[in-house]
Amino acid sequence: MSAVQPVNLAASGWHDRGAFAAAALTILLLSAAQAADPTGETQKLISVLQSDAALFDKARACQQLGEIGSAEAVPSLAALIPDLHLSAYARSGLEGIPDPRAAAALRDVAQTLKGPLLAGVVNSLGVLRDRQAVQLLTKLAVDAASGCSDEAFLALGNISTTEAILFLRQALTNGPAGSRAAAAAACLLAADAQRFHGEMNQAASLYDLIRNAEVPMSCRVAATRGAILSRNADRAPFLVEQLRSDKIAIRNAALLTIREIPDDRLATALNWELSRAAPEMREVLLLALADCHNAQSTPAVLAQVDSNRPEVRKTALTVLGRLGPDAAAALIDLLQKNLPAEEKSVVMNALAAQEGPVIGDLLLQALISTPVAEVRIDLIRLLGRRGAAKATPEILKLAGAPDKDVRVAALSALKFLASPHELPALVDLARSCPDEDTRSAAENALVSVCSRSGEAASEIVLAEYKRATKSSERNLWISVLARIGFPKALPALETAASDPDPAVADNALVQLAHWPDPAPMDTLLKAMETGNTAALRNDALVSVIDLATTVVEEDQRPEATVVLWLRRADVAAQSISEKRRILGILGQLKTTESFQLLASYIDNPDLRNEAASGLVQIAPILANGPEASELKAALEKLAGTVGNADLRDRALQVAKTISAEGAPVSLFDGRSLAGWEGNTNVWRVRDRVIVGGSMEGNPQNEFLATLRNYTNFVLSLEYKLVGTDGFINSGVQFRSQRVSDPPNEMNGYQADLGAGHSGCLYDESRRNKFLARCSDETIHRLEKPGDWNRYELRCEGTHVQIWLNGEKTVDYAELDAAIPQNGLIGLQIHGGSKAEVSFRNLMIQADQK
Amino acid sequence: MKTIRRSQLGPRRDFLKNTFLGVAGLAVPMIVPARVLGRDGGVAPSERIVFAGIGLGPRGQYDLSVMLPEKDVQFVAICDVQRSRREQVKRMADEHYGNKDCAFYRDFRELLGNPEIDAVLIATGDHWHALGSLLAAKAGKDVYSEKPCGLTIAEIQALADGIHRYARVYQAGTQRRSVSNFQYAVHLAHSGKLGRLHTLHASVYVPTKNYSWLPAEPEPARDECDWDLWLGPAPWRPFNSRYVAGGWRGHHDFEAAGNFPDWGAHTVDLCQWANQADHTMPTDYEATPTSIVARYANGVKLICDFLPTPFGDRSPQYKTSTGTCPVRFEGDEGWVETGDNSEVVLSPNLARTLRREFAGTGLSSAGHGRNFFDCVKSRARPVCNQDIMRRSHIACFAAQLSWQLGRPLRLDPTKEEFVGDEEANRMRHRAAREPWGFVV
Repeated sequence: MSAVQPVNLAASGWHDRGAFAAAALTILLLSAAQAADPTGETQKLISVLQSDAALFDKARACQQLGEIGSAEAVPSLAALIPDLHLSAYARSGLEGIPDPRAAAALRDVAQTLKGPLLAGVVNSLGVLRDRQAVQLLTKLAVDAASGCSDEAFLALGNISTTEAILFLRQALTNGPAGSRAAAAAACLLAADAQRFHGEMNQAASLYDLIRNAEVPMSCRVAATRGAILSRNADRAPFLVEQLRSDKIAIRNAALLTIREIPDDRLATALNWELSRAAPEMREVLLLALADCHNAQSTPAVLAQVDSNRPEVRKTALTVLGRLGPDAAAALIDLLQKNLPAEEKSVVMNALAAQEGPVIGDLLLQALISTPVAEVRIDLIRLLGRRGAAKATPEILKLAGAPDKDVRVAALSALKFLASPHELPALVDLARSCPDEDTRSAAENALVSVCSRSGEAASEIVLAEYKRATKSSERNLWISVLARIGFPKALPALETAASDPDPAVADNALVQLAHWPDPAPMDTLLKAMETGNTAALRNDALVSVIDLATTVVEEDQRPEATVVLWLRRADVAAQSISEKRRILGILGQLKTTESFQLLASYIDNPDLRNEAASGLVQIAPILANGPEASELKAALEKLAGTVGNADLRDRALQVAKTISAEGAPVSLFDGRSLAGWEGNTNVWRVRDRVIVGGSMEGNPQNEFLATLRNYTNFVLSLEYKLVGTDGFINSGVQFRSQRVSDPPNEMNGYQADLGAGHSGCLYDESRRNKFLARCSDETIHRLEKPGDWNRYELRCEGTHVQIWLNGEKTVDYAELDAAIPQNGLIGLQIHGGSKAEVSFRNLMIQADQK
Repeated sequence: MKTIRRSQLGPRRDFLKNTFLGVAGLAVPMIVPARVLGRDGGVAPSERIVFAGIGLGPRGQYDLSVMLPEKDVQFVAICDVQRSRREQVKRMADEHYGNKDCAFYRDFRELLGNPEIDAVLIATGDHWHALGSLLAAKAGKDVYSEKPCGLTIAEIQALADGIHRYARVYQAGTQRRSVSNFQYAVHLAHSGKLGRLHTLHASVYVPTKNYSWLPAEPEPARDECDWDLWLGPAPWRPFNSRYVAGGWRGHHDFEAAGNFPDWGAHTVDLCQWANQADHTMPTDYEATPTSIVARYANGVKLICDFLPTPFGDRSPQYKTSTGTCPVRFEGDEGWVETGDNSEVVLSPNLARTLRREFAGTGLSSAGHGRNFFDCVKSRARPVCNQDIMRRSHIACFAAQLSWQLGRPLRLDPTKEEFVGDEEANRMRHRAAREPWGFVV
């Protein structure tokens, strides 16, 4: 295909913009015809059309002629229009050729056609805006028997010559009712064209004609929009009139059109209309005003803040937040009034979200000028949320204000605003705090600044600690350093835990619980077991529990390690409340030791509930483990003793899933992925079904695997696989292993699923081949794509069998003794696809031996 | 001294995290008319948006699954030329509502004739998106349409103009504008934190061109699959069951611009947004072996990188290791990159100064649908309305044409025509198969 010489061709006439601009089209067409196709490509394509080439080749030739062909191709293309299969291809060619002969040929061939083929030609004449077709088209439009009256109307609307418009107006007002809708649609096209060319009065008159005709509401809606847009001087009153229509569709058209012409006159009219509109219109009007972004709307919107309808008040406040600095000033004023809590939070959010440094300046000015403590507090909070650095000096000043709440608010804002530069001032403030709340806020600010600013800042606090002599001051710095978790301070703090001053030792033990990782755990355990006084031992105990809580929340250490700490804490704990907390943590640790410790408290009436609740939480994960029967017994026992009905039900439910005699049990509790592990961004539970993968795309293979291994078993499940792109595939792993590199993969046997492989046995990431396949025909016959299908897998020794929807598809004997016959069960979603797989009714009958 | 026990505080990470305004403050606050929800969160039937679907295969059914839970939306009808699909969707809706009320149609014109229906979800194959949306608009329905929203530049123009003409609310299914990590990346570009933008990266498939026809198979019964209606405005070709099962992708007459806009509709759209260029589009386009490079009039470069597969490793162009649909915005003071795994990667200098954890919220289309429904009620403009869609789509088509023609193209963003390239201009349009037409 050759390059075409540059031609300044105006857009051909198939779309609004280009076409309206193409008044000069005809002139340009002549030069275009000369310039196109200098290498004779047209001739080659014409010869394809005239040969007995295959349908496909002719279709392609037509399309190419539309892209590069010259006018010589017109007769051969026109000759194909009566061909049922090639007609549209031929018209593509003709619509593309920028020469008046193309339209002429279409007019000629129209005389010989009827039905859809004629409609197609009429459409093409409309696309080409062929002025010479007007007569032909009016004839077809009025002839109900032509079969393309609607198309002819639309083509006339698109051509929209004076003659065509006159005809269309007539048809709309005096024509038969049956063609009025088509005439209205055509008039809309014509009126849009007039408006585009700046003929506003003519357009308005045509739109009005449509609006007032008996035509479908959708046309009246469209004409209402056009009528608003084509008006100038009286646009605003006209729009307001539409807003007052008793037809919701018309009101909606006006509301939508406001967004197309957000001019000042309109905003002024709307500001006025807002004050007198029906209550149910006010909210949508407010929203429309927000989209006009007119600062002069502020007073009108502000007036609605006093509305007696809460929803109007709230919308008005939200809209004020979008009207710029003027409105922001009004919102700041409103803060000084006693707004209901919900409205105040709207104001606060609006002021926090509005962009631009001006808002920060306004807030700061207001802060400097107001004496009211409550208002100061709100303003300080906002400045903090906005991160308004400019306000830092003023807020630092207020951190020493006489009003305690102002001090606390200021220090809380400094938590976000302060830089290392303010650290000395904060240190002084913390040291000299008149009350506990202020001190605690100052402490928070210090911790935050140090955490954000690197070691040098923490060093300053450590130096303060080393310099301090009074126990109250030492305690203050201990608290800050522990919460920062400054590693260099840990030895000093651990020493403080056995300080001769009991107040310091006591505080150090308490504060070490704030440490961000379990580094002080050994010191705390030792103090818990060997501390000098009962009080110190108890402080240490509470801190052990606290620190363990952090470790579990943030998953910092293996569960088994935490259980070991808690066993020691359990021995040391005397009071019920501490025992309760220990049991609470154990309920999150899914290990055998945790289970045993919890189970030992079932008989304790004071702790029975906590023990039960912990057991119920971890039981589903342990249900398939080696201690299953012990667990079942414990659950049944607690179901008999515990008072809480919900706990009792859950205990019984979990107990039921534990098989005593090898009956089938469910691998899925219907509401959580308990007993499974995998990437929970990929695998989740939806409507009591396990779902994996995403219709947005699956970057890589992902597996959801059982926590325990299975050797000999019968597994049945139902799956549904849907997808749009890529390799849409899934599978059920069994006797498989997780691999460490890459960590998302598994290897082992896979009952394949999807992409034409359902029912087959594949060896995933190991031998990487099908171990057994069934025929494509079988898969096609058995599987219901995109719907639920049933899989049954039976593994007995080296014998592996698979059934798909009740019919056996694989009967395989493993001959390689090196292949493990034990392992995990896993569900796969294949990478490189946009697909989602669902699984339900996963039942397993495992041989316990 | 009062001692604060560790256990008296919340989780430790909450204290350290909130060093800056939360994500909620990023986007323009979404305002929903308060009357939408009743006191109990329920919605009176008269206040509900009556909603219907046209052509919902797997993607459309996904869209529907996140829209069905909206309390102020009542899905009442499905139209699909394939019986299995309309039955599937009817089952889905009926199961959700616990009734058997979902109506089903083979011919969408019957569905559009129901005056009760306020809005439609269109998720047919690409070749029906524009005309389906236009005819829905003409019937007075608001439209949420899957992308790519049309097959050619001319279709996109007719679509956007027609939506305006009939005063409808339109949302293109380029839902990443409503997904928080992409919003955050764009926020960084808009707030000046990246300095002056100079390069935008939009990932796309390697473009392809395939004109071939699949072998003819006997046409199915019309009630099973209406092949003539399935084809609609696309030119005739012999039936093959693979097309209707989703295999239409990659075929010239069915898929927009050689699959360029499949991702480009998202990634180019996000770059347009980051560049605050929603009112315009790049002017110059030129293909290289690994990308199509476009330039805006203000000099900002838009690089559409070809990814051999949208999944997996995509170094060296992109840092995000997983996650489809990566985009990357580079300014003279830093860069940001994000993709479908919700991760936001920042240039080292920004990572230091921003020090914020960005918690992604996943990829659901729900927020995008919600934006559409809010606008159906308020008549405000959705975040991916027809004008936004028009420009990002035409930019995609222009880029793809420069690749296909193998020469640089210059586009006049106002006239939407190529300067001095007749062939490219002629390739903006194809005729519709009778009796269908885009003049509506």
